[in-house]
Amino acid sequence: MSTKSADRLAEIRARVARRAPESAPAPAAIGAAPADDAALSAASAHFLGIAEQIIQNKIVERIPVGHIAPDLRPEMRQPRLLPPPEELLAQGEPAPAYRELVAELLALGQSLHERQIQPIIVYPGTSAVYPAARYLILVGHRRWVAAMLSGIEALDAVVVEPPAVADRVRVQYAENEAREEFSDMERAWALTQMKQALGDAPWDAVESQFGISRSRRHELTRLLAFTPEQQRQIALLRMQETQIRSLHGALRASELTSEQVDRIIGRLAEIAGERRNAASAADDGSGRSVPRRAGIDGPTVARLVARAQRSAAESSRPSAPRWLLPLRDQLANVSRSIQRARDRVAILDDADADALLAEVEHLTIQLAALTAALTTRRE
Amino acid sequence: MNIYAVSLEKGGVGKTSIAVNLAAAFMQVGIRVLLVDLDAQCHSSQWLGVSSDSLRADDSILGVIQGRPLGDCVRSTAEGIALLPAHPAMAGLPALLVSQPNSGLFTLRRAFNQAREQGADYEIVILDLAPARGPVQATALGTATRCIAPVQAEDLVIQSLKALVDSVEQARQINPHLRGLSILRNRYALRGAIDHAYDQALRDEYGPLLLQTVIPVRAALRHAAGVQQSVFRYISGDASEVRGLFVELVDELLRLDEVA
Repeated sequence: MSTKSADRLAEIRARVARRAPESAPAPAAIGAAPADDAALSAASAHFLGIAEQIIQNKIVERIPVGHIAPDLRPEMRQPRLLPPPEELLAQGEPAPAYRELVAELLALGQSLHERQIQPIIVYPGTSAVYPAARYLILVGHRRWVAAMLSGIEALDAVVVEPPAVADRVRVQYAENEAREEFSDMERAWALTQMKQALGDAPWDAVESQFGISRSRRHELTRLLAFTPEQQRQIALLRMQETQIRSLHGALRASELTSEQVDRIIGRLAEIAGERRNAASAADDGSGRSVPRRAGIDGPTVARLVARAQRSAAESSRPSAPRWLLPLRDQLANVSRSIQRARDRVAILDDADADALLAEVEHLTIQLAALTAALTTRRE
Repeated sequence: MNIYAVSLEKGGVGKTSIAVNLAAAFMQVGIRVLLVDLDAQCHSSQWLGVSSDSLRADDSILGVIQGRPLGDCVRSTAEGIALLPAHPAMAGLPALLVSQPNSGLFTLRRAFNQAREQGADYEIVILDLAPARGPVQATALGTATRCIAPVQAEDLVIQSLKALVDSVEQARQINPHLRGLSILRNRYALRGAIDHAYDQALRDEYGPLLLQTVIPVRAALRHAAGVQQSVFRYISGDASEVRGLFVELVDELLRLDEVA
């Protein structure tokens, strides 16, 4: 420390040493007097998340795992795709389709053996499938499955009142939203559940419950164009909406049949399996746990979709030239863009409007010429 | 007792660096100080050479909340700083707090009051918080007498500061001893026009809350963490300047809170 700083330090030390005992604030100044109820409620609402608000002031209990079960009623299904423990294991061995999921759950079970960091949240209820159950799961389904697979006898749990269906969906969504492995398909299911829970409310009510934008909701609900089995497969592959945009786009535009989509999803599952095997072979043995992903990017899906479209076009019209399908795609895109732009031209300034008008007139001329050529060909 | 909560929801702003070196600076001027590591990542504890491997979960604030005397959990670090260390099991601290009366808002306050009754005579307590809003931040602000937010002239940091201002205002409704928020410009380097613009935005919006002491970017702070020492123990070329700045900061806080 420089001389100047050392002098400063000495000066402060002297000042601190000179303090009369009564000059310091009384230690008892930090009283424990509680604030009023309104201030307490406002502070709780500000600082605590939804799940934390539900369990606040509740005690943590140790409950036997056998007394806990998932709520299997259709309207109460969990947002996460998580098969029951008995489906994950076949004769004590992981079912081939769920090998990685079981490995993840067993790792979670090992961690629960060592220490359960957060209690699960349950409410009183019974289950037709698990007759010993006295509590049904609100939050912590994955930890319960892990405990069942790992032979853990009891879990720390907080017992709450049975929640309303909409509250339940909101809590479960909030609990899962930040998790990396929560897939867009599962998000789309949660949106549908919330819509039903709100009595088939308009989508904007659902968007506000989840705090998501209209465009994001659109992206997610487009995934519901797949059949239920296709949705399940996509959720198992944990593919996000952007990765399979070309696939659901082609399905919604009727450019692919459901059977073609089945084949593409089957091929994606094969690719994911091949990549998982390759990753296992290259495992560095560090034991690091990484989120399970299909390892398939958007361009891979787009290539499979394009191939299926080409194949369909070639089989129906073998003589169709290669440029025709891309041109038709472009025309369809331009047509949609023009349709959208019609309602928005009012916001353009004069220069932009003039430039757009010139381009539209040029396009109109080209379209008229193409129309004439096609008509002449028919005659 | 003055309790300083070093907090900001944005990570990487230097909360641990401030908490550790501020505690060392208070000790240097002869004030009895306790550093409480409230982050399950245990960074303050590691910085001062206390490894969580050598601890049990109830050596941390978890034990104090469950009734263990504070004095049993506090340990003196190699350079003599009184530290209540963190433990990775504190990841469950939010759930533990919300299961307490009043969602744990007064749990830390009760723990310190109890410690005082048991003879703890710390004049200053420094709480090092994780970069998150939640029950731990709530209980810290529910007992703190001042919140200190380390900031840089960056957009995301300034956005996060707005959230902290809201949190401090909420906490003041339940904690009349919380005097308010002080903003500490830490690792402060204004290199380009955009940095100056954010610096001006900070002055315009939060001028009265800005502390006069500014801690610039200095290698000594980073290197001191690497050797598990505060800058008051670490020897290097620019450590001396940084020590001087932390003494300035102590002086400013003492005057602000009329301790000396």
